[in-house]
Amino acid sequence: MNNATIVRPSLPRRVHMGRRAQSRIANLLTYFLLGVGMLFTLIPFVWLLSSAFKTPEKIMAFPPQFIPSPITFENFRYIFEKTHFEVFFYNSFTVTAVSLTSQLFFSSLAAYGFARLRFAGRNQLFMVLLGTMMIPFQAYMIPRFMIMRTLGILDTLAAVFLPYLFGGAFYIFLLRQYYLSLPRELDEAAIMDGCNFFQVFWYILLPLTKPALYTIAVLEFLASWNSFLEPLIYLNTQSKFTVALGLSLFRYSFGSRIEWGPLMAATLLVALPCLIVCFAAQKELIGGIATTGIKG
Amino acid sequence: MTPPTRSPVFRLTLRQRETISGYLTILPWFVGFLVFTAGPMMASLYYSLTDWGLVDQPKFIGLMNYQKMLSDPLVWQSLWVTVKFTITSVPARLILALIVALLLVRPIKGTNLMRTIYFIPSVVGGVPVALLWMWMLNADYGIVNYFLKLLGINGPGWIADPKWALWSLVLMSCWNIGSPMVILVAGLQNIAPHLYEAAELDGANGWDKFRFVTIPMLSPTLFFLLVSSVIGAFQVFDAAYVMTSGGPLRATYFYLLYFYQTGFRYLNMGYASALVWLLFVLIIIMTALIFRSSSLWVFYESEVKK
Repeated sequence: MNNATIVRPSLPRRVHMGRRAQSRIANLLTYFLLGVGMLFTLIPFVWLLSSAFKTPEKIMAFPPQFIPSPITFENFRYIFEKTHFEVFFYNSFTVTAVSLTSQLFFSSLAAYGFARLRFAGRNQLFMVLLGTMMIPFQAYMIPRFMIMRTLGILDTLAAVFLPYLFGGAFYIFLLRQYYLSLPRELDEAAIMDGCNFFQVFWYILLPLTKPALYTIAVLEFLASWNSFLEPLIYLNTQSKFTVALGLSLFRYSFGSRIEWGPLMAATLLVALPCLIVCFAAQKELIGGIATTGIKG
Repeated sequence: MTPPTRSPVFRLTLRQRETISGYLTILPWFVGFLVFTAGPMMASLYYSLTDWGLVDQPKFIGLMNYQKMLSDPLVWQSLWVTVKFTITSVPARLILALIVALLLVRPIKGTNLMRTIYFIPSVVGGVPVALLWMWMLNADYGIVNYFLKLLGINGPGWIADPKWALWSLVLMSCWNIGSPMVILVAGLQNIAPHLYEAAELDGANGWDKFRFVTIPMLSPTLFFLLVSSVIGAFQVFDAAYVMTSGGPLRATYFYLLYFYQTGFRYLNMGYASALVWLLFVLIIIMTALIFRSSSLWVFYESEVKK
């Protein structure tokens, strides 16, 4: 690539070409390169969108059409007729809502404790918490499966959200940083006024962490909605499937031949909530990832 | 807020109440940690020393599973697939993310919108992305081969072709550079402008500034991204499961796919536990190696300031 484009806003320097002209060329080049990259980023989505609305004949047309004509909703009708897609959505929303609420509350509570309250072993426990973030989920997948079997909740939604009710290590870490940034005078004044520690948490500090909570809510929504491997091992019955699981098996539901139109329509429906969240919460999401650096 | 009413019999000091409240706040997390993380970790270590087919009782067999792994060709084959993917996908993604990040920190308009656009692929889940790319990489009707045809190239069969299947997944992974890009943008914005000013006074050109200011100052960020991307690449599952089921001819038979099939298709839970512990140990070793190497190439500002 062209290294000239890397140069940051230039500072006074002996000018050859005229600074204006030089920086205009550099800017044009920047726009051009970014534009090409965005094209590559967006074309798959355009293709997804157009495939979802194509008739079976047009989908196999070559050269392919980008704007389908005629536009058909047949693919969507088909997926709701052939499968229980609305049930998958309902299941995913349930799992997401339950784990989201619980994660937000218990992560906040633990973060408050780690950030504000003094008790023996606190720092050691926090190191343990940091350590758990590095363990790949697969390392404890089989025993988790056994736990769910022992509890008799295999093949229920409870198995999918149960491990995610107690506060996530990463969220606690993130919120703790946030709590540490709040002035201690707030707690002290409230304690003076006779609040106990839980009232300090609930009435004074928690409302101030709203921006961080928003970020975590978005991250947990995406994690829960997109989760695949865990539902895959716990769930067997179609009526219990989450969207990712339903979608992955959908491709086999036409026999050996894949019906691309309905499959892309289903893919679009599953991706849509995430896309909406991405745009609605772009500031919180991108800001949250920038400051903390999660997801590979 | 009402002042808390306390029974006079149990009047605790503020300090004692703080301690008790402290333990109570972290109790839910700690219970979850013991029951769903720490306990299962230990259990899986034990299972890895047993012969266990889910229906029967685990039978202790010592290190037999690990011994068996040494001579199991599928272990090595799936590890090799995983390593090939990691050493191509990780650098490719990081370099692409760095290029985009460098362009996005230039003083131009619309960078926020563009950053969001580059980020979109990362919010979509593994399964929808896999299905979308399956369709795009379709040999006959896929859009990738259509574009290649416009350029006069006869596209390969992609995921249907054993020679191309793994590279198809690498290509797909390069579409999703959102997270590293966003983190690199933040890293670049944290570099103090006076460093560039100083470099310019010393007569540095664009490349010099990139090589001697940007890269060293960004190296802690790159280091973090390298560690997390390698760990992520070793855990690839969704795409391989959905798109190829490991095929064709095991060209995309990732390590975790082998683990999953051993445990949940052939119900060989003992052996599967051993497989996953090997993965865990490998991840630790790689992380340690990257950490070791970091003293050679990662530059921490605080070391100089001291």
